[in-house]
Amino acid sequence: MAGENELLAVVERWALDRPDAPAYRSGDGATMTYGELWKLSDAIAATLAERTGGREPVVVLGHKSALMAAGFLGCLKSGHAFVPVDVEMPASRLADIIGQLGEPLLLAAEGVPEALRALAPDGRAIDLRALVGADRPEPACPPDRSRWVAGEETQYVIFTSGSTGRPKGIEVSADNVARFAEWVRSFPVVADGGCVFLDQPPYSFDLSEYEVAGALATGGCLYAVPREVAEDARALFADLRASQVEVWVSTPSFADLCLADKAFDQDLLPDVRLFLFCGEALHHGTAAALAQRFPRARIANTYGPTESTVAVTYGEIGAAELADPAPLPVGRPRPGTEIRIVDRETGEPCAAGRTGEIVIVGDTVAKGYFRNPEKTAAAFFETRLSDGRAVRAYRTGDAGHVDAAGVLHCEGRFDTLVKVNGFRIELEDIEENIGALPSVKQAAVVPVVRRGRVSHLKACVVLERRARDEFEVRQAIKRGLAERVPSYMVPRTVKLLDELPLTCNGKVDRKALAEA
Amino acid sequence: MAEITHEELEERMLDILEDICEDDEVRARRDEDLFALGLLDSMGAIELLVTIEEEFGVSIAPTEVERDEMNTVNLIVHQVEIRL
Repeated sequence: MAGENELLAVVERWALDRPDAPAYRSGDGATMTYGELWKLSDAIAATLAERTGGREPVVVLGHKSALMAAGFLGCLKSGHAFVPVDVEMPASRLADIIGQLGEPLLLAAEGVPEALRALAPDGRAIDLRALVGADRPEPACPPDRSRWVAGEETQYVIFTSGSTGRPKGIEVSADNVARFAEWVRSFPVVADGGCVFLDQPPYSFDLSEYEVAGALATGGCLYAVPREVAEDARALFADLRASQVEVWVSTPSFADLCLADKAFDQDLLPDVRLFLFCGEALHHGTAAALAQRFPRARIANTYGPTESTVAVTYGEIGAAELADPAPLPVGRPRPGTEIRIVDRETGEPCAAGRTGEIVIVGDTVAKGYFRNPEKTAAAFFETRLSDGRAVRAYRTGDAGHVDAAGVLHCEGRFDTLVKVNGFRIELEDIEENIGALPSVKQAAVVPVVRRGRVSHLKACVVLERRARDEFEVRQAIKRGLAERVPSYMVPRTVKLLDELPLTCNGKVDRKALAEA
Repeated sequence: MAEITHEELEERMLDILEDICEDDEVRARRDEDLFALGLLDSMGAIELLVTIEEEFGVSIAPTEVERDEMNTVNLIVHQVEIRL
């Protein structure tokens, strides 16, 4: 397998066979064909190869643009893992990531905000826009394919919320992605090839790998919906109407946002044939409304953490699943993955049908946490599949059970990790960052549950001394926090308390705070 | 539905917003942009529309109004009032 990156190999094939087929499109009319994508990623790879002969990870900074996709491929071609970072990332958080990576090169797909500019001094930052303009330099020779990231080498590092208040990198290998993409190619609709995929979640969120790997591996087209469009209902619906999207990939929350408008139906998106969900629980209400408004489409629930390459189970939600009032199942494991349910304390297998910790065993389990052998050893271990193949396993911290039909059901977390709008957040990460703000003595963050799901986060804060203008202080906490963590981690509400309630064990009473 | 006065509507809306935003500050800042104050986000706005439909039987599609037509307490009350 060495020397071959399956994603690059398949994109190369499309670029040769169907160079004019669109690989990337967005509502503003921008398109990029497979031929262009391949050439541009060659130019990016050549530029990277001029700067470094090493194989260290490279940060790719931006939001939704074809340059991002080309940047990812360019990294892989020149032997570098890519680290996708959204341009909305606060400077201090990006500084932390850059610090963890060493002195990485940074590819920028759009103008780098002032606050981030100092983090990548000239020479380390490469403006990708300069490689596509009319006055672009004569492209140098791209590196030989023997340079390609391959096998067990790291394809990408995704940084996610860490319980210490610092982002934590997850290293996914080229083979992990190849095995994942092989599975996605087998999904109904996707298997037809050449589909248009909704490309909405930011690339820093590995849910986006569904459409990136799914579309590019099947000659399909990414239809990019940037944040500013997604946040404006009118603009979003006009955009979707022109999208010709066939495979919808999003969190259930994003579908909920769309479903709030009755115009979100088959007339708006007549070509949608598959809804692919991941990232958080899919609720009955969401699936039932979709089934009613899109009678021609399949609705698939999938499950998996970033540590096992996007997702590892797939299950369609039909009339039978909707008729059962129990939480919707997440489906059966992909070939190459086995799900083990173990006792959280002893690690012993649970009896069939019993709830325990979900352990994912298989060929898409990631390499571990970036430069963090301690955390890696605590969550990952070596084992064998039942056919004897040596693979990695990952303790998810998710609770669940496998029913008699072999279908997995998720039942929440064993720790304080929460999902808000699909984003994975360690509550301690926010608490640490609030605690670091001036005049804050103590902070606890709790999820607020509305209509049976996590609606938003609430921060309960004890100040060093009483504030005169409480409203201003609460606003200042939010502003201060927004400079340290991504906006999805800033709690909607901040409550000031004289002290945090404790349980009889002396721990912060999160239950009482959630209800306060 | 029985007739509802402007004052009653306003009072019920303040209760709803206080509950959704979890902040009694909404009562004091009726002409301030709730999004800019960080008291409402897109998911909170959806929650508000769903609650308005349940409470008043008034259905407002997110694509029907621009955000700046419905981003303060007084504008929200107005949007519901013209549809009652």
